[in-house]
Amino acid sequence: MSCGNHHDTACGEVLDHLYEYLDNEMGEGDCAKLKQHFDECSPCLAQYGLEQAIKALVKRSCCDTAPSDLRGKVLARIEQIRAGVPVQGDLVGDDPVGAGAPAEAERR
Amino acid sequence: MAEGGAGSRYLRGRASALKPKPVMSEPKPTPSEREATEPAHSAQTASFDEGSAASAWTPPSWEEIVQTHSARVYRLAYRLTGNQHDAEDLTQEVFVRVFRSLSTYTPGTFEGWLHRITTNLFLDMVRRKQRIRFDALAEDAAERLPSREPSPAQHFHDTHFDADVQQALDTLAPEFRAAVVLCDIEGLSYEEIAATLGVKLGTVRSRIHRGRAHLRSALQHRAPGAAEGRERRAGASAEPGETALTGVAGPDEFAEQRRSL
Repeated sequence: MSCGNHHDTACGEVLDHLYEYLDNEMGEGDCAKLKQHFDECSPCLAQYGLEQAIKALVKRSCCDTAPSDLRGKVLARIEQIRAGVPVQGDLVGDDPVGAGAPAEAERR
Repeated sequence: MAEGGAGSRYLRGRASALKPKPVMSEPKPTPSEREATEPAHSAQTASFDEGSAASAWTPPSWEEIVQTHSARVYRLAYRLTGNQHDAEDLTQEVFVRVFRSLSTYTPGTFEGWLHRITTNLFLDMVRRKQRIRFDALAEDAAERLPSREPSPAQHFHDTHFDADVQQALDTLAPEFRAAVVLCDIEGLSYEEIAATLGVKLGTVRSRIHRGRAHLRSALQHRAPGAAEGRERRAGASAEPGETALTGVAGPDEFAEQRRSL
C-alpha cells in the first residue's frame, strides 16, 4: 500500500513497523521517522489510527470480574492437595512452565 | 554470621516470593535494569533495618496470596479461554501450580511468574483438548483456525457491547491470542512476552503482527463504511443510502479515533 507520494520513509516500510511503533517497541530514531511520515501521509496516519483504536478496544473490553466464589474454590483446592487428596483433572503432571519440583512446596 | 549462608539466601528468596508486589502499576524495568536492581533489592530485604521488622513480618497466608492475585489471574484466564467456565478452571490450576512450585520460585516479579504459569497452562490445556499438532502449527494458523463461528444470535448489540471483541479474540489461534492479550491487556513488552511464552522476540513480533491483522478483519464491522455490519447493527431502520461519513446511530470507535487524530 502506498499513497503515491514521495516520503523519506516509504509507506510500505512504515506499515511493516506499525505495530512496533504502536506498542512502543521502537528506538527513538525510528520513532521519529514514523512520526514524520504520519505528519506527511494521511493514509498511513489513518491506518495507524485504526490500529490504535483496535488496541484500545481490546484493552477496554476487558473488565470481567471474577466470580465471587472463585477464591473459595481455589483455597478448597489447595486444602485438598495439602491433605494429600488426589485431585481429579489435575494438570500438574508434566511441567510446561519449567516451574519444576512439585510436592516440595507442600512443606509449607 | 546471622546474615550469611545458603539458609538465609533461601529465606530471602522465599520472602520475596511470598510478598505480593504490585509491580504492574510501576514502570517496567528493562531486563538489564532488572538484573541490576534485583541483587540490590535482595540485599536491602536482608538489611538490618528490615531485620528489626522481620520478627513482626509473617509470610502472607494462602488466603492472602489468593486474595491478592486471583482477580488478575482470572482476568487473564478469561481473555485467553474466552469463557467463564474454562477461566475458573484455569485459575484454579494456576494456583495449584503456584502452590506446588513456590519453593523453586526465584526472585523476580511475582506477577510475571503468574503470567507465565497462566499462559503456559492455557496453551497446555488447549493442546490437550483440541489435540492440535502444534509442531505443525504454521505461521498462517490465525487464518486457518477459526475456532468458534459467531452464530447469528451472537451479533453484537449495545447491551453486549464488547462481546464481538471476545469473539474476535476467540477466532485467533491460541498462540496468537496469548501474544495479543499479553501485549494489549496486560501491557507486557515484547521482551516480556517472549520470556512468558518462551519464544524468540521475532516470533512475538510476528504473532502480534498476524494476530492483530486477523483481529482487524474480524472487527471490520466496527469500521466506518462497513455497510454489512451497520445494517446488522441498525437492523431494518438503516437507510440504504447512508455512508460512513454521515454517521449513523450507534458508537463508531474507528471514526471517533480518526477525528481525534
